[in-house]
Amino acid sequence: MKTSLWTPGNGLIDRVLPAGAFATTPRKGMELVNLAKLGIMPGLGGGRAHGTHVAGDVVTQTASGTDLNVVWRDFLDLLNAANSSRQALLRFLTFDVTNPTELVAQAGGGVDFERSTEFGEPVGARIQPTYFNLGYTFFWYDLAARYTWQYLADATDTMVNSVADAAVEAWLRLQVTEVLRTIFNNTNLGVNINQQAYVVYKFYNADGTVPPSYKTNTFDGTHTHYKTTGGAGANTNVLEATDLDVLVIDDFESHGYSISGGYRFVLMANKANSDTIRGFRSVVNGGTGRYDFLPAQGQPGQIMLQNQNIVGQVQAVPNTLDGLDVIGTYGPLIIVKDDYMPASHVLSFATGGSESLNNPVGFRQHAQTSLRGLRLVKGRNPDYPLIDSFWSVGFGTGIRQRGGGIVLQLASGTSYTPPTEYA
Amino acid sequence: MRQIDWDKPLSDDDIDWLRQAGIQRIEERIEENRQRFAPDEDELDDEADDETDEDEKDDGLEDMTRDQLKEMADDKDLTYSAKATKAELVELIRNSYPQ
Repeated sequence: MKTSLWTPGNGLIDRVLPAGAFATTPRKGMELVNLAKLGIMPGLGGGRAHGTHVAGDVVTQTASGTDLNVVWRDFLDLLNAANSSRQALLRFLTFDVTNPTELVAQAGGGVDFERSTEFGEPVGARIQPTYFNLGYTFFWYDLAARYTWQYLADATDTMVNSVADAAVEAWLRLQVTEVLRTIFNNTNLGVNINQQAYVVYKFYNADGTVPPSYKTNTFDGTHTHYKTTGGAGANTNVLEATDLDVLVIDDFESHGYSISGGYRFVLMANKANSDTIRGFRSVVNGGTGRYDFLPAQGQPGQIMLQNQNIVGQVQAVPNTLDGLDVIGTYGPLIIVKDDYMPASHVLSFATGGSESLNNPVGFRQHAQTSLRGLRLVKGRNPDYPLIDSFWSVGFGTGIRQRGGGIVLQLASGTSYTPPTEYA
Repeated sequence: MRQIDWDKPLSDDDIDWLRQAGIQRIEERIEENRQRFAPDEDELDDEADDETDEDEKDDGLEDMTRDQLKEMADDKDLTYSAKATKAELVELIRNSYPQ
């Protein structure tokens, strides 16, 4: 036998020897090959080119020299960071829920004292807050991140990371879009949860639900928080101070939402409508509203007439509300500029603060903790999870506080139409 | 915001807009406006009379000839003088309408 033949341990030639090609009995002109000595069992073929992959067989680094498993771990770190803190807009609009339905007490209602008599027993206080059985949607969303090994061989870290960044951005945008669609679309949704039909409600929308009464304020089943401003002529699509006074502030307060009750009122508008609000002045100050717009700290100042004095407490609010871009206040409303808002609508809501129980939208995630937030699901090869991996997230939304938000459409008509962006 | 003139009768659009505006006790105000500007019974009677007068004036008799009126009176078996004028024939026919 020639010494150049492959034997276990010498590794000279990487050969594949089909088992059937070997003679098992001596023939003329042929050598009997001792397969056992060669380390090849009869009936089996192959050598180092076949069998289990090892690290040297595939691309393990990006073009810039970073181990792909390090990239994978970086993605998981990115996810942890992205999942640990929700966007400011969502923190103020939503409250996390995990159940498909909830009984939620609505603002209003209460108990009454009665006048005492000498021998009488006081009536028992039986608190009967109005509960609504509220449903939440739930959908899974996914996005595959498919890399070929050729791509990974030539891609730099930045190129690979950009795919992850895009996925995270898409997830953040998806959450905002779905929450705003829940808010702006005024039609209740029917969902089937575990073979049971539930209704995913919107803000009060004249669906026959009678809001709880508050003090002397009563409501009927036609009450709606989706309104048109009804302006005419040049004011058809223009937000006015009186819109906020009558259609927003009065309505919130009639339900019992108040600053003293722990709520803050936020009005969100796009840049154009925010700029309009900057010009709102009270009647005593030459305008048409009840209040004056006051710029937030750090916002551009405004020149006022010198003969006017401050009446009442003037306190400039910070120019950020836990990340939201605050331009100032109009009465009790904190004005937030955000171009997620459509030009044709403005949104007002009462919030109990960041991720407060009193926030208007329920953000439903899976009951299993491990299935919450954005997840990166491994690909088929456990040694190289990045290849064929995909991004997955499951969540749903529904209104929790039906009186906690008011949407104004800047239109002359008498019936509300959702904006095309969130219809 | 829609300008509502409470010193005039509310239009249907006014009422529709007010009902979606979420203003407290708005139904009471709408009803007050309705009652304030609702015509009283005498006015309604006058309007009804006016409508009757209009109906009479619009019955086309004035445009008919004397012979056509006489023919119409004959059809209704009305008695009239052979010398009756056109105005007398019109009045005779109108008086024959069911009250």
